[in-house]
Amino acid sequence: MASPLSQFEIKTLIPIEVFGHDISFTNSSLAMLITIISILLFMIIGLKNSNIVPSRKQSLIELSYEFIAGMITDNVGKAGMKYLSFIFSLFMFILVGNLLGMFPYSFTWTSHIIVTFSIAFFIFLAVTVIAISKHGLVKFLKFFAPSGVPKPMLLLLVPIEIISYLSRPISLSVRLFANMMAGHTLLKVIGGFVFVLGANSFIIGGVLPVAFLVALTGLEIVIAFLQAYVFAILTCLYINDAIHLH
Amino acid sequence: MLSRLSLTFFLLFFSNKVLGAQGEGGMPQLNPASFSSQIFWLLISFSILFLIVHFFLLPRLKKIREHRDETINNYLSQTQNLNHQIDNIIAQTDKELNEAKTSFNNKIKEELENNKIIFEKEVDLIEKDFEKKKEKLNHELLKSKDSIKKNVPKICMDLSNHLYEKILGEKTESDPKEFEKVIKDL
Repeated sequence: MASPLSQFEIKTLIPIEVFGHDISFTNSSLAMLITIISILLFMIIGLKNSNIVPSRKQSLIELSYEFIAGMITDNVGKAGMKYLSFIFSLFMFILVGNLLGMFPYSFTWTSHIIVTFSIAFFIFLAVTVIAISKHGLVKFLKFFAPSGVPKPMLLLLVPIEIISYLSRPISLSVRLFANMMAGHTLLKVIGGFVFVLGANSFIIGGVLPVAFLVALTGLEIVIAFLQAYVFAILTCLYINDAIHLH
Repeated sequence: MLSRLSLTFFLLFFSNKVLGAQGEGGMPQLNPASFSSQIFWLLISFSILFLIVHFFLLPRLKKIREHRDETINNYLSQTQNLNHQIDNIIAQTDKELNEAKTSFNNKIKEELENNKIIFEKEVDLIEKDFEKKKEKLNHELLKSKDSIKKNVPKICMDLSNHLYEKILGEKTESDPKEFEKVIKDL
């Protein structure tokens, strides 16, 4: 039986190399393309023949739009609405990536640390640039030294604040990657139990793991949504910090 | 969450020994060979998604929502205008009704007064006519009284002669002057 981690293997579909760098089209790239095609189809079909009185498909898109817009206004305020397109794309990208990964034999690109870290690092850089351009470097650096704190305490507090700030991309990316990877590995391991127990006990022994697998699949679907939500809401909070600097 | 993270780190550190037993080399996520390709395709796919969403889909959605808000606001303002117009019409109708009531009452009052004057005039005329007729009648009555007074001796005489004739069966001729004297003495 294949290892539970074999599902995360990157398989090259079309080898491409540019200036010595490998940018081959892999199963991960295919999954990403399927993800964006799904989102775009969902939105294009939903917005086709769009009307003032929305159809069911249009309502679904408007519901997701309102969900993200509400998340931004609640956490960032009206000033955050200019980042709506980015947060919306990000949320939908991660959500659909997670959900498509739930299909058997599909590939979950969100379970790869390099992908989640790239997104998180980009957000970290963008947020830092926004904060510096909006408030200037001095005010931005004051962000790490909260006002009203006694000077001796600053010696302890400033490094903690800096570490906590620098660990943002790591925590953001590891959270998503770890959840996706652990969930899929667990499903694969339990799936393995179904075969092993079923084969050794005339199928009867496989019933319990199947029930467990079904329950876990439901839980994984919830986690797929939850992780996309957490990723989006944390991005909103980081943008809020950049715009308002507490 | 903690169990998931611990499972991940368990896989991270021990996957080579425990799960990578088939010589696959443990966690594929940590194989740097695929990093450049994954970053490149992530950049491409997310950029395509973001650009299409930012420049085509969300503006279209926003436009529809704005159009909807505009339509709702238009309907609301139209409704408010209509309500305002209805209020105005009601106020105007009330005003006209009150005016009509006042004018109707005034006309009734006027007519009543006119009728009263006409009635009083008529009553006056009737009273005057009545007085005239009364005077005339009194005059006629007095005249008749006088004429009766004048004729009383003759009538009395005729009546006595007639009674005499009926009782005694013979005619008598009285002198009217004597009769007048007798009546006067009475």
